[in-house]
Amino acid sequence: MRKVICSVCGSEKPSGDVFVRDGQPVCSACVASSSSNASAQGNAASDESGALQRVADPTVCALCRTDYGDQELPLVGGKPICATCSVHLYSRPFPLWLKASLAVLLVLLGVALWHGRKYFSAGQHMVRGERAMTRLDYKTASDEFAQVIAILPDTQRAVLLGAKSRFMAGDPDGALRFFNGRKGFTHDSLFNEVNALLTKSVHAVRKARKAIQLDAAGQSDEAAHLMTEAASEYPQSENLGIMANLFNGRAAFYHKDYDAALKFSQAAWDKSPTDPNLTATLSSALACKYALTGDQPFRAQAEQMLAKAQELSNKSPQDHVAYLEYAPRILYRLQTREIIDNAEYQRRFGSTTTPPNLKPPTKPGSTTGARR
Amino acid sequence: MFFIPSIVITVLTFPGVIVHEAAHMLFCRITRLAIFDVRFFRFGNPAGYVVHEATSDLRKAFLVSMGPFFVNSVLCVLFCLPAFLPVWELRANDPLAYFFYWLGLSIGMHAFPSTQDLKNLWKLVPAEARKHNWLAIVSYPIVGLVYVLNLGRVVWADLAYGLAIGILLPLAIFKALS
Repeated sequence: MRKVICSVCGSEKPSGDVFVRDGQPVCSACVASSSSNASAQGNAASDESGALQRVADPTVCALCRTDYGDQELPLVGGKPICATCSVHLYSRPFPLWLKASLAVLLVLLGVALWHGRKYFSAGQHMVRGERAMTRLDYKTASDEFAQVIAILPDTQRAVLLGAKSRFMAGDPDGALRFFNGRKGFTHDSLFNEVNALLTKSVHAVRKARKAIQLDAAGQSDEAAHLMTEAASEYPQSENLGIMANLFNGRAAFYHKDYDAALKFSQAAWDKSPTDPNLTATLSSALACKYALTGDQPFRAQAEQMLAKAQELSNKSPQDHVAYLEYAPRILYRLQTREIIDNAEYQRRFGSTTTPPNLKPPTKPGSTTGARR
Repeated sequence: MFFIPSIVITVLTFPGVIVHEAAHMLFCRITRLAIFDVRFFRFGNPAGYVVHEATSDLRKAFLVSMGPFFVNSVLCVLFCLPAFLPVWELRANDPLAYFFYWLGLSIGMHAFPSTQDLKNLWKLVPAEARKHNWLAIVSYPIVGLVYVLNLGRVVWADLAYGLAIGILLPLAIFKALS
């Protein structure tokens, strides 16, 4: 232990018990004494005594206070620290509770990542669906949103976007399937948008059904008008657009406006060229033009379309039955250049009667195919 | 802007304080700096601290000062990564996901080094930068940015940082992987 002589009282004190004031060593007893005098005179101790600085004894450990005699200890952080304490300072152990907490934290992290797998999968489908919506690929989008709902049935955004994708694809029934099982919705902007689409589509479908009834009742003009309204109200529905063309074409046919009939039939066929009934309708309109003008190109196109309708109708028994009903009528028109409607044809030849010089159909007719 | 006593925030986000101080201690041990005192959590200001040996070695000072910033940030992202989808994107009613999100945000909120840590580091940077020490050169913008963010704590910059790395970073990672 190092000793220092106090500049005030002159006594020899351990250096750890001495301060430096104005460059002079002062023992702790003299510092305390001068502080109490200053307080008694109403002054702050620091005003009287100046700045104090403790004198560190380099032979006494600042932590464990062990006196190492004349041996100066190495300084750690400016303090003399013995070797024993130094080991503790440099390798201070982490408390057990902290180690346990770290273990729990790592376990929780594992649980969090495992628990989040389903969300990650659902989220991936969600992102892919939204990207498909952006590029107007509604089929892919609705498939992706259906996957989200399969994982998380209560996800409003997926339900609404799925429904929206079906509405935009012109499939209101498919859209309604997305709502199945969902009881309530938060009224956000997406909900309002989908709700507006729903209202619009339901209104359009009602009009379309009424148009079909009118058409069946022979009111082709009113049916065409109503179906055109339905299609314009819900333009996303390709089916309504096709039906509107079909009904307008039919109304034109009954008005003997065969140019308009051909134009509408062509427009309907352009939207769905693999539909055998639309193909037959186009063939029927071309046959009318041939009957009227005698131009061979119309006949060739009509026959080409009829052959295509036959080929397409072979894929479905229902379409094939329809083909067997309309094909003789179109062929009759091409052969005789006489334009008669379905009712007149039935009146003359009956549903099972084969017109003269035509290959007989094997089954009775249906009304699902071309009606003109 | 509304005022919430810092002690309330500290208590609500205590895991972040503990992780921050544990990271300080870890880097002190890694860099062989003496640790005189540690408090991992307390009801006071500061809510936790590590009193360690000063150093003039920039590498050590950088690791000890900035280490918790990186440790807390990484843990925040890891916890928020699986939780941000149910909480923010899918709006799922999953209490476990919300718990993980709270944990992640709590840790992220306490990522910032204290002003004292930054001051200690800042003292060493100019001299080292003049010696073309790459770490000092890199430290300039990082320390400067964190210093400004740290000052912004009064306007919830720490929460904003936690939310940013708890939402934007997981979102970027997720979108990149999807």
